Amino acid sequence: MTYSCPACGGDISFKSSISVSTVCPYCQSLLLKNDQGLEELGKMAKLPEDLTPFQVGTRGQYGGAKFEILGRMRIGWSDGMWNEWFASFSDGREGWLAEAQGALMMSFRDTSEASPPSLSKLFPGAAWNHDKKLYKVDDIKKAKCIGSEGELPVAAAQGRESTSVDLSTMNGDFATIEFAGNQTRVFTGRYVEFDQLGLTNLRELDGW
Amino acid sequence: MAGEQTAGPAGSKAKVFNCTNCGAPLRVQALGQTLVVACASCASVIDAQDERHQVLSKGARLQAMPLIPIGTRGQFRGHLWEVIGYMVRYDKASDYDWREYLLFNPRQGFRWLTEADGHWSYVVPVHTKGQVLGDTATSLNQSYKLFHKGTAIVSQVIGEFYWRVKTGDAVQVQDFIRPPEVLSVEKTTDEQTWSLSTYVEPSEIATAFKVTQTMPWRKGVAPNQPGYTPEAHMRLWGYAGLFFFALLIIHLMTSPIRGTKAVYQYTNFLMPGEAIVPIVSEPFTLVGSPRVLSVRMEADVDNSWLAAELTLFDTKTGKGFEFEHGVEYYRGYEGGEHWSEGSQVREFSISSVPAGTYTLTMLPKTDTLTKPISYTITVKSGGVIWSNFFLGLLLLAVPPLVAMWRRHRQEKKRWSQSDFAPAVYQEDE
Repeated sequence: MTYSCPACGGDISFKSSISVSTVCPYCQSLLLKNDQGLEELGKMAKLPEDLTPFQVGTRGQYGGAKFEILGRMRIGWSDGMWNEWFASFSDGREGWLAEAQGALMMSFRDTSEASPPSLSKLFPGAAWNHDKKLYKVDDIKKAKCIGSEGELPVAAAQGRESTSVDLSTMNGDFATIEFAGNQTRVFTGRYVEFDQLGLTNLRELDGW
Repeated sequence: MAGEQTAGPAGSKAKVFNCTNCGAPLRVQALGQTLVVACASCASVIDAQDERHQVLSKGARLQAMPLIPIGTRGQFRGHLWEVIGYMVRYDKASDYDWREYLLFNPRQGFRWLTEADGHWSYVVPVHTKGQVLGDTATSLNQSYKLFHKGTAIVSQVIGEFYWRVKTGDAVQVQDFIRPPEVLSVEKTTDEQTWSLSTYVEPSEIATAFKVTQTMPWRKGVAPNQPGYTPEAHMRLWGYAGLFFFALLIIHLMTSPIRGTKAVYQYTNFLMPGEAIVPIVSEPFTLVGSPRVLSVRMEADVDNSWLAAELTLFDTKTGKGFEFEHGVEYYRGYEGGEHWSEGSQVREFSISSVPAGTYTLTMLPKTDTLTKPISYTITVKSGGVIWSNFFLGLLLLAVPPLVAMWRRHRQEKKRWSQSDFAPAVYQEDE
């Protein structure tokens, strides 16, 4: 289904059925999908320059399924910034490829857990038994969305604040519990190596 | 010496700005990840993210320049890396210091090269936390032994870093070794960082990063320096075993065991009171390749002995080979027990006797006879000489034994720098 941008009239389409927001490629407006159509939430500032090898449109495979990167959120916290790339999987799963301090993590939206622990019960070292795995909290960050591009399964407004709790197991499993406003979302996954993902349509890096 | 930050290799889109404190050009290669740049000229640590580029901290003015300059690129372990940062740290307790080079690749992330006492290691971040139990750490099914526990403090920084580093920053470190690897954990109050270091030969680093200066001389044994590993040891003993069997087979093959063949036999009596005269044998012939001759002497000595001076003459050359041979046998009954000593039979081998015609001259000797002694001297051709074989065996054992001794010495040197040395390698008080 094609929409038209409420700000500039340009053609907008969503590649993923789970996407709820997108940045208009023509006028940089952040658009939110609702029952009526598209709602403009303001202009999205240009993302600060970085040397990421990924871009919207990068394709790859993981765990036997193919994915395409449809959007990105750039998150900032007191001690730096990182990228959360929205990886839309061919089997419909919502995947996120986090790119932080040179490390890559592929995680999936976990819809199984009815009620993850509340933030008051989480601190570095706290244990969480989930899906037959024992996770321990590595760190808790107060994060803020610096900007976004492409389409995303979340309303990634600039300045959207969240508290991100990262956990890991002794076996390389990784999890994030994100508290944003009144929403709590859980993601589980693993650390991955760049070379394992069979990536194509990567961003060209001058000099690399 | 004022350091100079040059713009990167042609074509690289690094961000360049001037040091807020001294104006020297600063460069950011790892855009989006670098948080601070430490100026080589004035030791100020500048905020790289914020456009205002504020001075965040200052280090000591006098700085040591890195052996591998900032901005150097090298093909190492399968990928292209650029040295973007340089850090010197020291151990709080011992003042011992080491150097670290931050490597960057936009697709692979970050790695480190560390140099201490001339020994280099390649460090990879490990995302899975290890498990520590007493003096052992386990990560991904491998165990490592505790080598060092202490506080590491930053004394100097130059270039880009992905966290807000400053001189004086301290972390609690624990290093666990499994040569050539070290599993390390660095702890601050908030977080734990695990990494795995692998020993690298200085030549590999010098080649990859085109280091023209002489690499620092290696002192002592590094904690993770590979040496005679248990595996190399097993191999050495394995080879020794293999050679043992080869030696055995060769030995048996070159000493034909077609059985021995008697080529000459002489039997006689020694009578009491009779004068003893030398006996010369009939000539006997040996054919074919040089072989072992065995001379067998048997006598029915009973609490007495019989010896013989024997000479083997080559009738063609006139050369003689002298040897003495004897048997002795004693027995008795004492304190309710029978005892005996010696034997009535003795065999003696001579190796590599070439083909030819020989005679054997024999001169028997004994104590004053009280009863007759009957004796037989048999010369047999063929048989195996074992003395060479055992000598070979001894020589075979030398390399593994030397290796064991050298390994022990190396391990003692390695653990001499650790507070956690296993008892066997501890310094003798």
